[in-house]
Amino acid sequence: MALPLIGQSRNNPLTFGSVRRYIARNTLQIAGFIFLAFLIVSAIYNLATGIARPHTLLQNFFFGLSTGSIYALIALGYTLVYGILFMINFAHGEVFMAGGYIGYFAIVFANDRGWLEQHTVFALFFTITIAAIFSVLVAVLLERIAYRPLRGAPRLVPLITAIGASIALQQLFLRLFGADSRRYPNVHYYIEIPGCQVCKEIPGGAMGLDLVGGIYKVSLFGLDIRLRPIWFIVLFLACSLMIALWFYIQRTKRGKAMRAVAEDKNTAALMGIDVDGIIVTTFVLGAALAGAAAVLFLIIPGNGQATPFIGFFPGIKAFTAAVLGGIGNIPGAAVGGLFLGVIEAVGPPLWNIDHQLKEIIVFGLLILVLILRPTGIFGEILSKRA
Amino acid sequence: MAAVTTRSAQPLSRLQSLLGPHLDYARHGIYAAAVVIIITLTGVFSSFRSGVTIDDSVIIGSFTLIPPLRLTTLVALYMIGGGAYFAAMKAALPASLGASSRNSRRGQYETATSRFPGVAFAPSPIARIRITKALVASLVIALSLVALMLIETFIELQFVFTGLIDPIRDTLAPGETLQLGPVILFLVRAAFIGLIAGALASLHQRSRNIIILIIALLTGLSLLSDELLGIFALPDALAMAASFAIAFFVVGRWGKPWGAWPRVGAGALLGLALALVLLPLIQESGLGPGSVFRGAGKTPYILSQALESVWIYGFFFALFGIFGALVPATPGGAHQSSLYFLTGVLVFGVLNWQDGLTYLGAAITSLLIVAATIIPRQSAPRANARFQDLPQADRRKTLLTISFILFIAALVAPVFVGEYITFGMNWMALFTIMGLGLNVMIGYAGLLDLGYVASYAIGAYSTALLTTPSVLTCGGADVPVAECGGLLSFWEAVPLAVIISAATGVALGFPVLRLRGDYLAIVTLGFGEITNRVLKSNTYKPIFGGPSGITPIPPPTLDLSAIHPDWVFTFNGTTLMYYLFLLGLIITALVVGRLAPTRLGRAWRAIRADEDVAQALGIPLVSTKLLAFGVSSAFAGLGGAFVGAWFKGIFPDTFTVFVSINVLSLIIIGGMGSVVGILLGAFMLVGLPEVLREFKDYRLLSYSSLLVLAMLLRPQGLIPPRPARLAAASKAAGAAATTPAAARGRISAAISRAGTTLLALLLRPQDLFSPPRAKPQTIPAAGEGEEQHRQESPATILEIHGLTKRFGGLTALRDIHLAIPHRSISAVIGPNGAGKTTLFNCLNGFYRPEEGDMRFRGRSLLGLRPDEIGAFGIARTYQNIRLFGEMTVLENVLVGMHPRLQDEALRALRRGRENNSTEESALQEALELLDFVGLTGLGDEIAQSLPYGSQRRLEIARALASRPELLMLDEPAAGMNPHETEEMMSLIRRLPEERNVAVFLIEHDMKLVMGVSEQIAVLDYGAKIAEGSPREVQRDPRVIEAYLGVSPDEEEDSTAAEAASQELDDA
Repeated sequence: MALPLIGQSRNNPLTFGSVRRYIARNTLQIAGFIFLAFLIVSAIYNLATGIARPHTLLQNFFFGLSTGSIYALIALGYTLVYGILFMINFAHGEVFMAGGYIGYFAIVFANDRGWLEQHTVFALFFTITIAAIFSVLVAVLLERIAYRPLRGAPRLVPLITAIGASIALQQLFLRLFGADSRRYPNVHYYIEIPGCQVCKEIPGGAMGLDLVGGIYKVSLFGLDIRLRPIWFIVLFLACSLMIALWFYIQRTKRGKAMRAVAEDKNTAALMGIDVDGIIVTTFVLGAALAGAAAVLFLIIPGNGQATPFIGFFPGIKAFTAAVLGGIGNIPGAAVGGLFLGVIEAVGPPLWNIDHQLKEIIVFGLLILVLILRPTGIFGEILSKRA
Repeated sequence: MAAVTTRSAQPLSRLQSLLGPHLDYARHGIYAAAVVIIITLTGVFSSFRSGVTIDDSVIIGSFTLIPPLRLTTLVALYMIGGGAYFAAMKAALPASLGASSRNSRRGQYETATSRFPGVAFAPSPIARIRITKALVASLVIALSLVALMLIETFIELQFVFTGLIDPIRDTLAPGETLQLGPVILFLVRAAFIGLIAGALASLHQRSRNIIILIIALLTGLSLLSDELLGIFALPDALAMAASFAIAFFVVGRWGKPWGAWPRVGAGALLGLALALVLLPLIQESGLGPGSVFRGAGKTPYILSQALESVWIYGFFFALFGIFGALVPATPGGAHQSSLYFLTGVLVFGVLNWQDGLTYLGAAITSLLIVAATIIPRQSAPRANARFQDLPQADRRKTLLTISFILFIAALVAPVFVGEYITFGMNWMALFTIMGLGLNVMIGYAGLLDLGYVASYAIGAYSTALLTTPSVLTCGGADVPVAECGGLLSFWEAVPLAVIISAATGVALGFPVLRLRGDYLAIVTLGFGEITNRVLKSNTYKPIFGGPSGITPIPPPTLDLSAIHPDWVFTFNGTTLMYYLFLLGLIITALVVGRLAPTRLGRAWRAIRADEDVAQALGIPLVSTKLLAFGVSSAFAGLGGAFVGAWFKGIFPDTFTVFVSINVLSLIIIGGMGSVVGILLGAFMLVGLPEVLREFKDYRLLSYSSLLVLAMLLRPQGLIPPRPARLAAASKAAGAAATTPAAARGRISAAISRAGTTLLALLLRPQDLFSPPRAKPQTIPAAGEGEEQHRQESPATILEIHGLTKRFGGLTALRDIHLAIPHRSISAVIGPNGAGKTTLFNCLNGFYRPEEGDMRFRGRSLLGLRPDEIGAFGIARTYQNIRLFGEMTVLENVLVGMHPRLQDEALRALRRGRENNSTEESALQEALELLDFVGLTGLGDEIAQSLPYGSQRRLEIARALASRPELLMLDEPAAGMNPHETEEMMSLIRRLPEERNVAVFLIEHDMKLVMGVSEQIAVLDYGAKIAEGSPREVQRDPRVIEAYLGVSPDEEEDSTAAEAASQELDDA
C-alpha cells in the first residue's frame, strides 16, 4: 500500500511525536481509509437491516457484469494507447460513439433487407464489423491529424488537443446526423430448448429462449431475479475479444513489437521496428474493440439509442476502469472494467443512493483509488517521477 | 525501421511514381475537398439559407454586374477559396527554390524586385506553383461538390444526413434538376476563386495579412450590419475623427518638450475649439444627422444630443482631442490599437450612412483598414521612441489618461451599441472573468482543471440560495414567495458566494493535488459532472430545485436615494448588468495582472515549469497549489453570482462540461497568461458567436476545431504573454523610487483595493486587520537568526551518520559518514553509479534514507520535505540543468528567494509592484547576484536562451538566492571547455568567503575537484572508500582501484599506480 508504516525501521520509532507527524503527513490517505471503512460498514449495515435487498443486488450484479465487460472493452483502448504513448486518448469515448452510430445505420440496413430476422447472427456480425471498421477509421484519422504532429510536445498539449478533438467529433456527428436519437431496432433471436424451466413460448410454438431481446425469471440461491440472456452473451463475447487481444499481444510478432515500443520507443526504432506503424496498430486495436463494444452496448435492450453524446460517460467510466486496474496494464483494464460495472450497478441499492447519482460512485471510486493506490489494483508501471 | 517503412510504403510509392508530380498538385486539394464535403454534409447551406450579407447590387444599365451576396454564397466562397489557399500555402517548393527559403521565410522574397515594398509578389516560379496548386485544388473541391450533387439526385441522403434539408444544388447550381449549364458556370467560378486564392498565397506575407484581415472584418461587419449601423452617424464619426486628427497633427508634431499634462491640455483645447467652430454650423445650416448625409436616423447621436446638451458635446470633442494629442507618444501597441479604434469609428459612420454594408461601403472600409495598417508601420516606432524618451512620471500619466479614456469609452459603450450587442459584451465579460480565473490555474500554476464549471455553479447556486426564499428564511418551500425574501441582499451574497466557491475549490483541490496533468484533468472533469448531477438530481430537489433550477432570483438593487431621491437602480436589464460585469472584469484583471509578478505568481510558474526544483527551492507545493485552486475558483464564483442575477434564475443545464471547455478554449486560443489575449479569446469565442445568431449551431464545433488547430499550429495562443522586463524597469526606477505612492491613479488604486479586500477576506483575513509592517530594510536569510547561529555553532555544518539508502534490492548508499565544515569546499567523487547524486537527493529530501541520520546545523533533516529543507538553508544545482526555461533570468533568481521573501501578494494587489519595497530590494539583490556569477546585464533574457555555460552560472545564482549555508553543486563543470572550467573554479573558490556558504560538490573533472576542494570523499558502489585532502585521496590505493579497476597491490609494476594517479590528476 501507499502508506509507509510506522515503526518499520530505526528511523521511524513509534513515539507520540512520530505518530502525530505521520498523521499530518498522510492526512489524505488516512481520510481515504476511513472513508473506505465507512463504505464497507454502511454496506454491511444496509444488508443486515434489509435496506439493500439481496435480490436487487444479485440482479444488478449480473447486469453490472455485462455493462462492466463493455467498459472493459473501451478501457483496453485507453490502456493500450497509454501504455505506448503515455497520453490519455480523451477522444476514445467518441471513437466508441462513432461505432455505435454507424452500427445503427448498418443494422437498419440489415433490417431493411430482412437479414436481421432471417440471419440474425450474420446481421449482428455484419453490424459489429461495420461499426468496428468505422471506429478504426475515425481513430486512425485522429491519430494522424491530431496526435502524431504533437508527439514529443509537453504532456498537456496532446491532452488539450484530445479534449478538443473529442468535442469536435461529438459536434460533427451532431451536425452530420442530427440531434434525434437513433434507436436500434428490436432484435430477437430465438433458440429452442426443449424441457427448459424458465423458457417462454417462442414463435413456432415450442419452448425456448429469446437470446437477444428476452428477459426471464430465474430462481438463484433462493432469490427470484429477472435476467436477460444477452447480458451473458455480451460478457462472453467481450471476454473472448479480450482474450484474443491478449494472445495477439503476447504471441504474435507485431504484439511483441508493441510491447517493445511501449518499453522504449527509441530503442525499438533502433531494432528496426516501425514505431509509427505500431502506434497506428495500437489505435486500430483499441478502436476496433470500442466499435464492437458500442454495438454490444446498444444491442442490450434499454440502452439502445445512438446519440452523439453516448460516448462521454462510457468513455470516462472506462478511463476510470483503466486507472482502477492500473493504467497501461491489459488484464488490469479488464478486471477494472468488470469491477466498475458491478459497483455501479450494485452501488445505488447497496448504499441507498438515488440511481441518478450513480456517477458519483464512479468518480468517488476514482478519487479513492488515486489517493490510496495511485498505481491501480494491478499497476506497477505507472510512471513516477522523482 | 527504414526497412519496414519502405516495404509498407511500396505500393503507395509505385502509385506516386506512376502519377508523378501531378498527385502532389492535387494532394492537398483532395484533403481540402474531404473537409468541404463533410462541412457540406452537415447542412451548412440549409442552415444559412436565409442570411443575406451584402444587400446591394452593382448594376450597370440593365446588367447586374454583382448581385447581392447571400450568406450561403459566402460560405461556398470561403470553403472553395479557403481550400485553395490551404493547398497553395502547402505547396512543396522545388529544391532549387526551396533551399534558401526553407531557412528564412523572408528569403524567398528578397529576390523579388518591386517598387513597392510590401506589395511585392513572390518570385514568379513560386507564384506559378502556388497559383497552379490553388487552381487544381479549387477544381478538385468543385468537382467533388458536383459529384455530391449527382449523388444527391439519385440517392436520398437525408435519412443519414438530417442537416441536408435543401438540396445542395439549390445553392451551387440552381435549377429544377441538375443541369449542365449551371454546373459549368459553377466550375468556372470555382476556378476563378482558386486563381484569386493562389494569387493571395503568392503575395508577400504583410500584404497577405492585410487582405485576410480585411476579408475577416468585412465578413463580420456584413453579418452584424443590422446591429452595428446605429452606432455612429457619419457626421459624428467625422467630427470625432477630425478632433482626433487635429490634435494628433498639431500636438503630436511637438515632440519632446511636451509633458503629459500639457499635451492633455492642448488636446482638450483643440477639441473644444473645433467644437466651437462646428457648433454654429450645426445649429444654423442643419449639419445634423439625416440632413447632409443620408443618416439612418437611429439613436444615439452625439451631435443631435449636443443641441440639447452642449456640455456632453464639448466633452466628447475634448476627449478625442486629448486622445489624439497623446497617441503620438505611446507604446507601439497602444498607438496601433488607437488607430484601429479610430478606423472603427469611421467604419461605423460609413455603415450608418450607407444603411448597412454595401459594396461601396465595403470598398471604403477596405481602404480605411489598409490605411490603419500601413500608417502605424512608420509612426508606431516613432511614437514608441517618443514615449520612451518621456520621464517616468509622464509615461505613467500618459498611460493613465489613455486608460481613463478607454474607461469612459467602456462606460458609454452600451448607450451607443444598443442592447443586443451589449448582451454579447456581457457574455464576453463574464467569460473573460472566468478565463482570467482559470488562467491562474492553468496558465500560471499549470494545473489543467476541467471541472471549472463546478466553481461557477457553486457561485451561482450560493447566490441564488442566499437571495431567494429558502428553508432558512421561510422554513419550507410551501410558503408563497411573496411572503418572505432572501436571507441576504445580492451585494451581501456575492462576497459570500465568492468565498464559498473558493473554499469548495480548495476542498476539492486538496485530494487531487498530488495528481499531475492528465489525471487531474479527468478527476476535475468528474467533479464538474458530479456537481451537475447533484444539482439536477431529484434527491436534492428541495434544495437545488432539480432540473428546473432556482427562479426567480431578485435583481440586485442599488439604493442611493440618500444622495438623490431618484437614484434607486435595479439591475434588471442587460444594460445595467453590463456595468456590474465591467466592474467585475476590472477587479479581476487588476488582481490577476498584479498577482503575476509577485512571489506567489512566480512560485506558481515555477511549479508549472518544474515541480521538484520548485520544491527544492523552498516553495511548499500543497499550499501554493491550493491557493491557485482557491483564487481561480473565487473568480468562477464571481461569474456565477453575476450570471444568476442577470438571468434572474439559474438552471442546472447551464452548468455543463461545455462551459469548462469553452473557458479553456478561449484562454488557449487567446494566449495563456496574457490578459489581452484572454480578452481577445473571449471576444472571438464568446462575444462574436453570441451575437452572430446564424452560427449558433456551429459554435461548439468551431470552438473545438479551433482548439485542436491552435494546439497544432500556435500552441502559445494569438497573443502570448510577454516576459516581464524587470531588469530594465529597475534601472529606470531610481527616480521613481522617490515618487510617493499617492501619485499613482487614485481611482485605479481604489478599485484594486476593493478587489484586494475581497481576496484578502478569503486568503489572509489577519492581514486586513493587522497594522502594516515596518518596511524591511534587508531581507532576512532563509534560516531564522542566522548570524547568531553562525557564531555559536560548532565547526561542522552538516554531519551524516551511517546513511543508508536502498532501492529495492539495490543498496545505493551504504553506511555513509561525512562531516562538512562551515564555509569550506568539499567534494564527493566516484565512478558513475557510485551513489553521489543519490546522496544529494537524500540530503535535500527527494529521497528518504532507510537508516542513519543527517544533521544540518545541529538539527536532523530526517522526515523533512524538500521545501522545508530548502527553506532551512540547503540549496542545490542539478546534473542536467533544470532552470525554469521560459521565465527570465531575473525571475529565476527571484524564485530562488522565495523562502526569504514575505508573502507580499496582498500588498502587491493594493499597490502594484513599483511601490513594493520588498520586491524592489529583492530585485536589487537579484541583480547583484547576477553580477556575482558574471551574468551582468542578462537579467531580462529568457533563461533557456542563454548559452550552456551561463545556464550553469544562473543555476548557481538561483541556488544562492535563498542565502543558503550549504550549497550542493552537482557536476557544475559538466560539458564545459577548459576555459569555462577555469572560470567556474574561480567562481566556486569565491563562494565560501563572499557568500558565507559551505560548498559541497560532485564533479568528474578532476582538475576542478583537486583544484578547489579542501576535502574529498570517494564513493564506490554506495560506500565511502576514502576521505581526506586532495593529495591523500590521489594516493589512496583503493581510489585508484575504483577508478581503474585494478589494485596496485596486485600490480607488480609500481609505475602503473603512478600512471593511475597521474590519470586522476589529468582526468
